[in-house]
This record gives sequence, C-alpha cells and structure tokens, in this order.
Amino acid sequence: MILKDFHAFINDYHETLMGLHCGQTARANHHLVRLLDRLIEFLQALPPPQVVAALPVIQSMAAAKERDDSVSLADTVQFELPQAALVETFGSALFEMPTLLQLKSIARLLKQTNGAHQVANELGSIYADNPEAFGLAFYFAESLSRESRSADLIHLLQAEEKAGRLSPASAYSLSLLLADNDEFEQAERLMDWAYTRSQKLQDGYAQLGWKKGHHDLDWNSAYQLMNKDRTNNRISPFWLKTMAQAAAHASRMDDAKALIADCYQADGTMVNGYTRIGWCGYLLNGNKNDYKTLVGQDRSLGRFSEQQDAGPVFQAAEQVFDGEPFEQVYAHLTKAAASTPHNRNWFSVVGWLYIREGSFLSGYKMMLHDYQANLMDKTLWFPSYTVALLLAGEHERAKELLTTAQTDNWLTQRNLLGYSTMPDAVLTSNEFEQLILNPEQSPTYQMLVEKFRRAPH
Amino acid sequence: MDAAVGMNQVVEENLALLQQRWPQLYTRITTALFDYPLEWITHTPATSLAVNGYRLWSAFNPEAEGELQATPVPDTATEAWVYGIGSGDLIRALLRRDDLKQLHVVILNPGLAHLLMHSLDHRDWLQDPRVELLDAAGQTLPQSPFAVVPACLHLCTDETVALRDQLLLELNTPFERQRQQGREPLRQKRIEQNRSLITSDGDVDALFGSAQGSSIAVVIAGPTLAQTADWLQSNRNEGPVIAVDGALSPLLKKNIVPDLVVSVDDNEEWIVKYFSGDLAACKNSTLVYAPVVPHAALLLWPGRRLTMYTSEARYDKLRQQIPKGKLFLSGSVSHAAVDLAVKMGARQVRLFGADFGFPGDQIHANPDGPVEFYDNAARAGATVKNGHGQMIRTLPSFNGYRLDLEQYIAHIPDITFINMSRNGACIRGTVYPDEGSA
Repeated sequence: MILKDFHAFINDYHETLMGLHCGQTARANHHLVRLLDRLIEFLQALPPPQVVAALPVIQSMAAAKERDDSVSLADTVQFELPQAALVETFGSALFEMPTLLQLKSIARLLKQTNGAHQVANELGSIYADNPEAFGLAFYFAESLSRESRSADLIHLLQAEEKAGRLSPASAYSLSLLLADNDEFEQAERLMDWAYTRSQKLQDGYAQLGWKKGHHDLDWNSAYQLMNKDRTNNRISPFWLKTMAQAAAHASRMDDAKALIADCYQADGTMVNGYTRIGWCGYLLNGNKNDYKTLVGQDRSLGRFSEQQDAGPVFQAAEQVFDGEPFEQVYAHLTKAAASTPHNRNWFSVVGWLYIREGSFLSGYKMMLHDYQANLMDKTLWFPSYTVALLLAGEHERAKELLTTAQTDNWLTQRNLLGYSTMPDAVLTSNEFEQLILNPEQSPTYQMLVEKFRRAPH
Repeated sequence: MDAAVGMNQVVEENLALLQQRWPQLYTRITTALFDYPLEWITHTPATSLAVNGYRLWSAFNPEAEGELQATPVPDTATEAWVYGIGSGDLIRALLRRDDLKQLHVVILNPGLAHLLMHSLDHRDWLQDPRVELLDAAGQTLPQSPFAVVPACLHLCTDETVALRDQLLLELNTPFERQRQQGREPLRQKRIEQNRSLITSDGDVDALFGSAQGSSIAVVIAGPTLAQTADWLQSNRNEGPVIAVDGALSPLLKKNIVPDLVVSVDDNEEWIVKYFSGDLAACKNSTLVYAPVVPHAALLLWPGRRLTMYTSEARYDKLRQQIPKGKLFLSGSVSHAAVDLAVKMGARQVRLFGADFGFPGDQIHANPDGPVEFYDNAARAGATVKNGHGQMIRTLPSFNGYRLDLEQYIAHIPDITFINMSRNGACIRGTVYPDEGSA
C-alpha cells in the first residue's frame, strides 16, 4: 500500500465510523466501500497467516453490512479490525474513540496560519496524557497530503519522531516524504526503523529506490536499494514490475526479465511487463528489435494488454517502429483515447518517440494533440513540448510557451526531456532557457539534433 | 446500576418514573406489542442486545459510542432532539453538556421502548428535569439540532416511517451536499461552454400553461418503465409525453417519441450517451435543459432547445443576464420533469418508471445509464417499501429524491398524480391506476 493509500485508508476508516455511529448512511457507505477496497489491498500484501487471521473479521463486517446492522459493523470496524490487521503498523491509539474525538477537534487548527505548529503542540499534550499512544500525526496526513502541504506533514511527523512517538506507518510515510524532498539518507534511516518494527510493511525500499533512480539517474544504486524488498520478500507484484524497469534502466536486462517472470508468477493479472522493460531498453540503446521481441513475449504469454497499462502507447510504438504512416498511428491513438477518458500524455510519449527517431515534425504534431486537449502534464511534458516546437522549426512559438513557465509554474530545477531517464536529458531551468532562447549556443541543442538525426528513420 | 439494587427494582423504578412524568406515554409504551426476535450479546466487553438482527448499542464501549452519536448536535446547543433510546448513552452524553437546557427524546417504537425499560437502567435520564419524552406518532418532520440511535431507525413502527425517512434525508444531506459542491467548478465550466446556446435557445417559460387541463405522462428511467411502456404506447394520444433524458432511448426503442425531453445533469460520462443514438425521430420534439448539461449532448439534439434554470444560486448571475423560466429541482431530473408537467397546466400527471429504487433488483431502464454505479451503491443496504408493501432495495439518495417529490406533491393538491407501477417505491400523494381515480 503506497503512501497516498495509507492516508486515505485512515481517513476512510474514521469517516466510516462517524457515518455508522451517527446514522449518516451515505457517508458511511461511501467510505466503507473505499475502506474495504484498501483493506483488501493491504491484506493482499500480508503473509498468508496474517491474512487468515484477518479473514473472520472481514467476514463479520460483510455479514453485518448484509444485515444493515450498523452498530455491529461499527463495533467490528472499530474494535476487531485494528487488532486483527492494523495495530502493529499504525499503533492502537489511532483507532480509539476518545482519541479520535480529540484529533477531530484539533484538526480544524490546520486551517489556521501556522496550523501545523499548533497541531504539533496539541499532539504533544495528547501524548503527555497518553503515555502508550503513538502514531497520531498520521490522522492529519490525508488532508495535508490532499492539499500538497508536505512541509507541514513533515513537520508533524518530525515532531512525533522527536517525541519518540512515531508509528511504523508514520515513519514509512515520513521516509517517503523526505525522499520527495531529496533527503535520501534520512529517508533510508526511517524506512529501516519502520521495517524493523512492522513486518507488515512492504514496498518501502522499492519506492525509495524508484524515487532515487529518478533523482540521481543512477539506476544501479536504485536497483540495489529496491532489491532489499525483493530479497526480504516484502515486495508486491506491482513493485516487482517497477523494479524490473529500474533493472532495465541499469542495463541489467537479465535481472529485469527474471523480475517480470516473478511478477507474472505472483499475479496472474499483471500485463505488459516484458513490454515495459523492452521500452526501457529502447530508451537506453534505441534497439527497436529487442523491444518488438519483448512485446512478442508478452503476446505469446497472453500478457499483452491493448487497453491496460498504456497498451495503446506501446502498440503505437510498434507501429512507429514498423514504419506505419503517421496518420495510421494517430488514428489508432485517437480511437483508443476516445474510450479512455482519463488518458494523459499518451500523444506526448509517442510524439517524443517520433522526435527520438528523428521525425521532428511528426513528433510536434503528435504532442500538439495532448497540448490542445489539455491532456499534457505540465511539469512532466511542457519542457519536452517546448523542445518539440523548437526542433520542428516553431522557434517563436517555443519562446512564447517559455514565457508561461513562470506563471504556470512548469519549469523546475530538474527538467527531464522526453521519457528519457538518462543524465544527459536533464536540464536546469537556466540550461533549459538557454536551449530555447539561444539554441545555436546550447550544447543540448547540438546533442539533440545530432543524436536524434542520427537515429535510423 | 447500583449493585445493591436488583434489576426488578430498576425496571419498577424505570416504569414508575415514566408513569409519573409522562402518564399518557406510559400507557402507550406499556401496552405496545413487540415481538421481534431478541438476542443478548454477552461474549463481548459490554453486554449488548440485538433486536431483529440489529445490535442496539456497542458491545465494546457504549459510553464512547454515545459521545460519538452526540457529535451532530453542536456543543453550544441549549435544546436538542434525540430520536430513539437505545442504551441511553446518547441521551447521557448530551445531558453531560452544561449548556443543554432541554432535551426532547422521541420514541420511534413504543414496543421497543417498553423492552428497553425492562432491560436497562434508564432512571438517571428519566428523572433529569431537562428531558422531555415524546411519541413520534404523527410527527413527520425532524426537529433540529438532533442526533439518532441508528438501530432505532431500523426498528421504527409503520406510523413513524415517514419521520424516519425524513431523519435519514436530513442525516445524509450534508454529505450529499458536500459531494455536490465538489462538482461546482465543473458546472461553472459547463455554463461557460453553453453560454452561446443559452443565449440563442428558447425559454422553458414558453411551455408554461401550454397544456391546460391535460393528462401528461412523465417518463422516468426506472426499471418498471419496461413494464408500463406498453400502456403508454397504446395511449400515446392521451396527452403530452415528457421524458427525462435517461428514458429517451428506452422510449424510442418502443417507437414512442416524447414531446419533451428534460436534461439537468452535468455528468458527461452517461448524459452524452443518452443523446448518442439515432435521434432523427425527435426533430419535432423539444429538449428542456439546464445550463450545466454537457455541451456535446446539447449539440446532438436535433430539435428545438429551451433553457431552464433552477433556484440554485449558481444561476443567479446568469438569470439576470439571460432571463429564463425556472423549474423545481432537488437532486433528480424527475423533479424538473414533474414540475414542467405541472407548470404546463396538467390536471393529471402519470408517472412511468418513477421507482426511486430497484424493483426486482433491476437497476435502470437504460443500459447506457449508470447501471454499474447504482448496482454497487445498491449493495449499501438502503430499502424502501413498494406499492405492494414489500421492501425493495434503493439508495439513500433515491429516498431523498422521493421524499422531496412527496413534499412537492403535497403542495399541489389540485392535480392527480398517478404512479403507473406498484413495483417501485410507494410515493406518498400519488394513486395507482387500480385505485379508481385513474
């Protein structure tokens, strides 16, 4: 279960209970459905004996729901479920009603200026009255995370750490947040702490490694860190698949293939695993044949999905590599996108593929679709789109788009070009501005033109 | 309970306090029948009681449960209402508040109250001078601020069902409203997208009074439409037919072309689908739409379009800029369709597919509708009585829509509302075709 889901899980837990106790059925039902989904996900990641221990509780919840017996359901959710599956990771105080009411009453402070500091003080008082309690800051994680107030969340969790009241779940979250803020050493220290105290935690090092890989672009180190979860058998199929991509980025293609084989064995529903590592391989060395071979491997295993996991993009890549006309690729993506309303960046990825293959105009035209349809993530793809404009000879429009960078907040200190995960594709904002404003004097521009123009058409 | 006092004495004193303070209620409570199966739960930290399968109070920590149940009543309230008794812990939680001067405890089932007087010690709150014990019979509207003992809502008597439903509506409204507010930015965007159409299209006002004294069919997309559409087909000439958007394609499949179609929802996912079929037959029909309807759906309509507003504040500015007529809406397009029939001048309104529930566990008359969404939500356990007196599955939101329609109908005494199927939820204020007046 990833950080976001932890937050949401606790929120759904409390909202379900409030709804059940107060007779607010719509509120209770809405959150109960989500709670159960997340609970099942959480349990699926546990070792089998712990799942078996939790099953009677889940059955009891289902039976109470079937009878519409809200008090039994609330009792089970509140008093039996935590003991069966949650206390070790989250601490018990978070599931106790008087504490819950106290937390609810101080939650409103978060809306005030300096609210996180006030809440930290109030938490200190609650801890003083409850020597056994720990992990309470987690209660505020959902709303702070939703409002992107990671600095406030870090403040609360660090105050909790200072007071010696961290729970494994809090430490896990804090670790990931610190990694988001590039403090990897601290992050690893906290993850070690959390893992030692809760055997139920998993995917933590995998997530840290993945973040580290994107930050340092040192995929070998990232792979080693992720491998901690694999060797300790504390990794879910999803993260096995992600780790395989890290392995592929690190040129460890044999390891990547072995990871996908493990992932498929662990989860019969996983798809596009070999395809993804083939894609990573292509990014690394431009080898289209290896990509097609690996897509073929997924197909022969019945694991290639045209719908799930960016299937339409992978299909489009095959079409591009097979030399199919631009119109055909565009039509394929358009049709697939029409039945997937929440698709984002699909045309951008394929557009950059064209650029990578030296077809600058086709790349720009493809990316234009996402840009015009508002389906392009700004920080992720606007820098690449601006470069696509430049490469396609639309220099003035590229400069024009650059003028929106500050107001729209899409230029950062680390701007990744395309889907590349290699160090030479990361530009600082200054380097990026130089590239767009004075391309002839930019080493990146020379590199892009030379590298991509060299690519076989 | 004082250890030195036996339960028999507690029961006697419970009843004595009742008799002394509320003699009429005492008689009603002590003579009420209550024959639901009971089960004491004793293997848990606190002893609890289940009645007809519903646990009445927490078997782990009833006192803390009472505190939580009391939270809907503001801390500063001086007067409050409690619906249901349960363990009495909710009542105690409120009485512990210094600011509270008066607490009205409303009994939803006298038989259950009788059982509870015989089962638990209620003497403390029964003798509290701030407590006023009330019988719910005859009451239909909740008083505020209030809190409930949820299990008691399930165990209410037939004569308090109307009040129970209103309580549920009130309890669920804040959550539903909050959910709706999340869609407000999308709705504003829709209004802007539709602005030019709103300016150029006609006004629903043009229809008001256009069918004086007629019988108007209002067709909603509930599952019973499949059973009643044949009647409509045979009697197509009785009067105008108004369909909600979700009922359009099921009607067209039966070769019934509605005169008017009403659309008020902003949900792109299924509203556009409603208008995506072959609508050539509708070129002489009229679409009445709210400004938040997806732009693409409006462009698919082949005939005349008329804009309507509702009393929602989001239209206040637009109303001044581009004045148009208003229809009643309280969450469901069926409200607007019925109000349109009334404003057109109907003397009789026939309701088709107005199920507000899932009769026969069928979800929707239109396979393009939000079938999966409703199907999942319907597992939540809400029920409603149908026209045969049987319980059918529904959604809390559907119950809310039905109650709002019932209130609307109650204010229109001159028009006969005929519910064309008994299989859907029973709608107060309507009659059935087999009841003669139709």
